[in-house]
Amino acid sequence: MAHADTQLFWLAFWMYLVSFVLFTVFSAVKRRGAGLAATAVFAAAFVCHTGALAARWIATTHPPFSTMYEYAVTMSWAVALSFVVVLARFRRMALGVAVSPLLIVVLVVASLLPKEASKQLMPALQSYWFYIHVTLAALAEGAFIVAAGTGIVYLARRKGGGAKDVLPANDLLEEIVARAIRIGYPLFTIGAMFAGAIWAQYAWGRFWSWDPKETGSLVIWLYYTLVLHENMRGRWRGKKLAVAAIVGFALALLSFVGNLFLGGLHAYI
Amino acid sequence: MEGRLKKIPEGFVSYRFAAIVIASLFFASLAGWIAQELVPPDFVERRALYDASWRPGAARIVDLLDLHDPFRSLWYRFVLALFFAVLVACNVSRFRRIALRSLRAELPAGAEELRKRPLFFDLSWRSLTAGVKGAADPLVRYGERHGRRESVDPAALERLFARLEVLLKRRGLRVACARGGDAVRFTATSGRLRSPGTMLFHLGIAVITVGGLVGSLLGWRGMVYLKEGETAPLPPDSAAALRVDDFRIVTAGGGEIRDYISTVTILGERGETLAAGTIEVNRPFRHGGVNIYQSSYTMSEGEFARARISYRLRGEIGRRTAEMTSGSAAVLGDSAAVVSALRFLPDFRMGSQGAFSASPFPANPALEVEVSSSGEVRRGWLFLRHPDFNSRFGAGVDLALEGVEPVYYTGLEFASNPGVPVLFAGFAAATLGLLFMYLCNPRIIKGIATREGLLMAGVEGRWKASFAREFEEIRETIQREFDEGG
Repeated sequence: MAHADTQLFWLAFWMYLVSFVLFTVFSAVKRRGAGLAATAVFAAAFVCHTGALAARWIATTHPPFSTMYEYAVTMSWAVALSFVVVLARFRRMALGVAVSPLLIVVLVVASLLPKEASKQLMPALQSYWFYIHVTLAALAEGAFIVAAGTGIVYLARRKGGGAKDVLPANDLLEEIVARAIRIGYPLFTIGAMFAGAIWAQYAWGRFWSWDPKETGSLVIWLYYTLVLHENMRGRWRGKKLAVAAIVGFALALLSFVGNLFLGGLHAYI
Repeated sequence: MEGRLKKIPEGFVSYRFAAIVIASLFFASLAGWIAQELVPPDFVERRALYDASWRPGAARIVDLLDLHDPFRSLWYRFVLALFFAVLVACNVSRFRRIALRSLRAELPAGAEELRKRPLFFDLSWRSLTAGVKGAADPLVRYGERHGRRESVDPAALERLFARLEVLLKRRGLRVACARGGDAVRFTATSGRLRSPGTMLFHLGIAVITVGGLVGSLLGWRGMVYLKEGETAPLPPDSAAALRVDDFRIVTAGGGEIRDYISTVTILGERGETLAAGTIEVNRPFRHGGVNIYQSSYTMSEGEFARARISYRLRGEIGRRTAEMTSGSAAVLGDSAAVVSALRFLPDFRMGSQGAFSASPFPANPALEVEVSSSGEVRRGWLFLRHPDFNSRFGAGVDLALEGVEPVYYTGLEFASNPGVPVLFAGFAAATLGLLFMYLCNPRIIKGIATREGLLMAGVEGRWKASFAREFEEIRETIQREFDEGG
């Protein structure tokens, strides 16, 4: 079991890569068979990914959120899960062409991080608030990444227009972007902001420290608050919403990798 | 109330202004985030140095805009205050409308209002009840094409509407209706708690802001480092004192730190015990409105409780051990050699000024010893993590540091924050609001059932494409269910 998690991680990584190639082929040749093959490989990768997390959990005896590597793998799993949900709900395989490369970006970041497993959680992390905080934040970021991926498809469709047959209609793409953001936002608010603040109050005696990671989360939260307000008042729709979702992904990525060089209370490697 | 609400300028509570304020706070936070990273934390202390080394005027700009502490600067507080004011004003100004809207459904005023909607259908009872075959009947088609519809009697209308009501309820819609003038006007709604949820969420954010403000104005915090047996006054009532009875670093099997535990006693003015307990990370101790947190620990440079060294004298094969306390000496076996402990450094580094500890944590524990034997005195450092390095001390003595028990000081943080209950209330309200907002799927369908037929329009749905699909499904269901012609 010692290295099963990393072996499964790499297996999932390569399978996601293959699924990306197949999704691209599907978008280009518009053959349903290619789409089904891409979806099947993606599903198999998701199973391996889930297995990697489970193996890590068993090996470390705690949920796999305590290091940057573990968080990156969990966050990418949340992206894959969000995509599976979108796929089940809307049955639009072509979205995989944009979501799978973003997922691979997160996995590449994970692959560059130290993978040592420790059974012992550092004292500050021994709180159930930690699990609530990290799980919800990862799921939220997963939803935001799916929104960004769908946003890329939206922009590609508007420009190219050649892949009309396999890509969903603009209305539906916009709805998926908006829905993904609206699913991610409450999860992020409750998980990253509220649960984090309550946990910080118990652990450090202050609910907010203006730590770089906290400030980064506030920036992301304010950004999506702005996106939702502008979307609601009818301004950021269509192309603007797609661009906003992509910018949101960039901010989330900056806040995530910011840990590595900004330090602060969240500097866990 | 109504009069007072009218005093709030409309522009101040508009979505547009709210978006501008959110954008301002976003950019202010982004600027603060960047400033936090660019401006060195010691800017205030070493201002002169940065003034000299940076471009002319740069340090002055940092100073002027408080970029060394951006989130406590005047400009950031101003944007935050504006955000709070708009949040409160929006909630107050929308309260009545949202409350009324969630309590009672608005019925359609007339057919024209519904026909203007992009989603609507207008079907006669005849075409509905006659079904596909009936609709193909030339008489029905001719009559309907020329606006002549067959009328049903009032009792039949009631029966038809009752069937429609059941269909709409089956889709999770709540139906409100009013009868009059041979027609039933109705509104089918779902997810009406979404708007109160939105308001509750905004209110929660406002309460959180108030909690933060209360905490920053009335809260206080302090930090003490104490070793076993030491006491410190317990603020703010300095008549009470806190004594550390024990401090332990609990390690797991692999040596990883599992917990830091301080056992403390709160002493009264005359030294009597008021309370006692343990403090762990994530498990603060509370006494008289003050929370005490296990925040950190440190160890003092030079001080140690016990050190164990192993030694081998010339001609001996095996090693023996000896224990020393701070400042004590130990005779090595039956020889004349004496080893004395001089100084302990938890994180040994060698600098231009000599040896120093880079941190108060045991990253590289080292003990300075002096070995005197037959009038010859030698000094040197023994390293816990590198026992073979620097181990020979002339006179045939080979030493190694086997273990050292430093004197730990537990780092306890005192804090009192009267804003915490307010904050937690805000978190609860905002969370509840979010749940209402996201679990409710608001849909409004309005319609008028007359003796001739049924006019229905999709008025509001959260998701345009999905709502259009659902409205189409409702139309198909109605046609299927009312089809009596088979």
